Amino acid sequence: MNINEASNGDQITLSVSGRVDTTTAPDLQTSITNAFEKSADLVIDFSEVEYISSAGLRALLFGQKTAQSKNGSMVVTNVTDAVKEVLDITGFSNILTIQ
Amino acid sequence: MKNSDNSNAKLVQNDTFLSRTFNSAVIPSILTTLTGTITIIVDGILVGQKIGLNGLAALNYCLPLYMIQCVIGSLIVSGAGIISSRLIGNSDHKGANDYCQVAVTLGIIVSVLLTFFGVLFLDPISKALCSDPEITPMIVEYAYITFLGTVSRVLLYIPFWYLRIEGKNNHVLISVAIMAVGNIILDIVFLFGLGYGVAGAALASVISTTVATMYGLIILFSKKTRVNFEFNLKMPTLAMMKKIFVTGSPAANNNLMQTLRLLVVNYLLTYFGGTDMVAYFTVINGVASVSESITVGVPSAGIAITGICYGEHDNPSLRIILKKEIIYGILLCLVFGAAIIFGSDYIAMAYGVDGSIRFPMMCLAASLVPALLCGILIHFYNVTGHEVLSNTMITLRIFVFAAITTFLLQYNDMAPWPFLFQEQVLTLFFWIIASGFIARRRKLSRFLLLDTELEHSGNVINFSSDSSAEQIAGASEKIVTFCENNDMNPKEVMSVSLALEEIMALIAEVNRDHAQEKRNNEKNTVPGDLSNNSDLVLFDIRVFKIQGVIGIRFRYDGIPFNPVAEENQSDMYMGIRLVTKITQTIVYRVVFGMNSLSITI
Repeated sequence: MNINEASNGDQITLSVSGRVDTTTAPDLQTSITNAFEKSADLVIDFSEVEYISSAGLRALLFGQKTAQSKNGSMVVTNVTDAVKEVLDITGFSNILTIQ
Repeated sequence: MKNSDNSNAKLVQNDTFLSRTFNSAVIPSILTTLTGTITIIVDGILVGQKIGLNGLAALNYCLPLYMIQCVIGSLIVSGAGIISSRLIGNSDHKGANDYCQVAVTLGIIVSVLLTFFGVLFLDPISKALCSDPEITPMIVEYAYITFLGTVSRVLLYIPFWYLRIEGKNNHVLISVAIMAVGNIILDIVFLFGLGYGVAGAALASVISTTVATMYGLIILFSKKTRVNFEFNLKMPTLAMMKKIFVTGSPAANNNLMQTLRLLVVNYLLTYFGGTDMVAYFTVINGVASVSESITVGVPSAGIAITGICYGEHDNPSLRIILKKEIIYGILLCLVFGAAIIFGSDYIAMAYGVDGSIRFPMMCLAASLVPALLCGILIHFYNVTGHEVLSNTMITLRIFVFAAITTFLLQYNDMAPWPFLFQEQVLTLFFWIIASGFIARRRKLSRFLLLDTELEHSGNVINFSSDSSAEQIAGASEKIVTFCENNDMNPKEVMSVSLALEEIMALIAEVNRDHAQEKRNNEKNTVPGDLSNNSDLVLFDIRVFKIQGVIGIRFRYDGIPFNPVAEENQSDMYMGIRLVTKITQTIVYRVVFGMNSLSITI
């Protein structure tokens, strides 16, 4: 998994590529934490994410809670069909902001 | 950033998991065979000591009755047991249970009939066994009690077989130990204490066998300890009976051939060499029967798991098990062979035989490895549906080649003992020729006669993993190539990948928690250190797409754990909740003492 961070004014965009699984989810969570230290608004681009497991979902949930605690926002964008299905089945589509 | 891509490495099956499974079975299996053999030897010694030569002769003449009970038991129960293990491999647990119940029913019916007719015709049977007026009354006494013990003798095979399928090899050993120790103690009580004569010896055998059978059946069927099999009586259909008798025929044939071998070889040795030769043969047979703890015990350890893997059409696992049997067995044969050669003088002394028996012991030692290979192949072919080849090898190895080589050696004024390894080597030559013929005719693999179409189709993959996060993530990623090669759509690929990761991760975590709790409960232990590699769970995994059905079969050690046993809303079970929504079926079983989880997507 690779994560690129880009800053656009007050908003930070994390572009994630590859698989978000048991071994890589901690890196995603760390990146989200670091991003929220710089800005309260975070966009996570999932256009290159081919796979996400429950470990990745927990990292996203952590990010959502962090956003709420900072009165900020976290948006997950460009989700692939396969990943969207996982989010729908687990009910995470209702918890996260997905565009 | 971390990249879990490792596309150059492939998913491969190693032998770690199956080794662990086989190793847990092999020592109990060897000890079970050894205990049975030692019982027979000690039994003979006690009877000989108290009752004398006539008592020993009566026991010997009654041997065919004992063999008939063994033939019935092995025919019915080994047949049903092998079929049950194949059905378990095929995920037909109801079918496996049905055959178990049929085995119980048939065993009871046939043994009750044998008891009835045996007691009814006791006198003519006894006179047919031996008409010597000094010995016949002893035969009547011994045979009468032996017939009464037929039901327990036959039903003893049920726990012997089915507890192995459950992976409860230690309980098989306990059952045999009860029989062995009980027999010896009761022999002493009845023969030396109460002076019952040969009837006492028969009673000791029947009572100890009955207790051993009850123990085994209780462990197998009681609600507290049973796993896959439930006690019930079930009448077989004709098709079931035919299948049982065909599949069980090699085991029954083995017992029959052993009896014929004894008769014919004894006759030939007496004819050419006199009773001295027979006495030497008694010594050799005694040592050979101890060696069967290796040549029979080692293949017996693998028989249940072989049936399960065969039922799954899991050829790679079959080859791993065979390899383990061969390596393990050869090492033990070499050690045992060296021991009997260097200890030949002590063996002769123990039996009270004058003269050296080093040459016969060298011949026996030379026969051990070929005997092991023959035993492994015979068991293997029996389980994998080649009963004709298995029966032919048994008949040649135990009877035909034994008779021919014994005759030819002595006819040419040579010592007969090389027949011990010649019979085994000739059988292996026959196997090489016969297996080549069958393989060509039926388009099977050359030596093992396996159908390799499925494994070469690319529709199935077997691989091993442990429960480390890296291995789990790696397996989940690498399976994508297999899925894409089998034309799975992106949703199916994701489902397979997710199922692998979530199931293995949960099993890993539950086992880690259990291990940590165990450590916390132990004294003088510092909690928190999870770096101990023995906490790792081993997985053997099979993924397939066959006729449109996508499935994954997990086998794993560690604690008995069913990931879908109950609804659990905790965070740890999020992944499993996801998996249950993307799969069609999830079935958990304990098979051969291993956790087994099968899912379809």
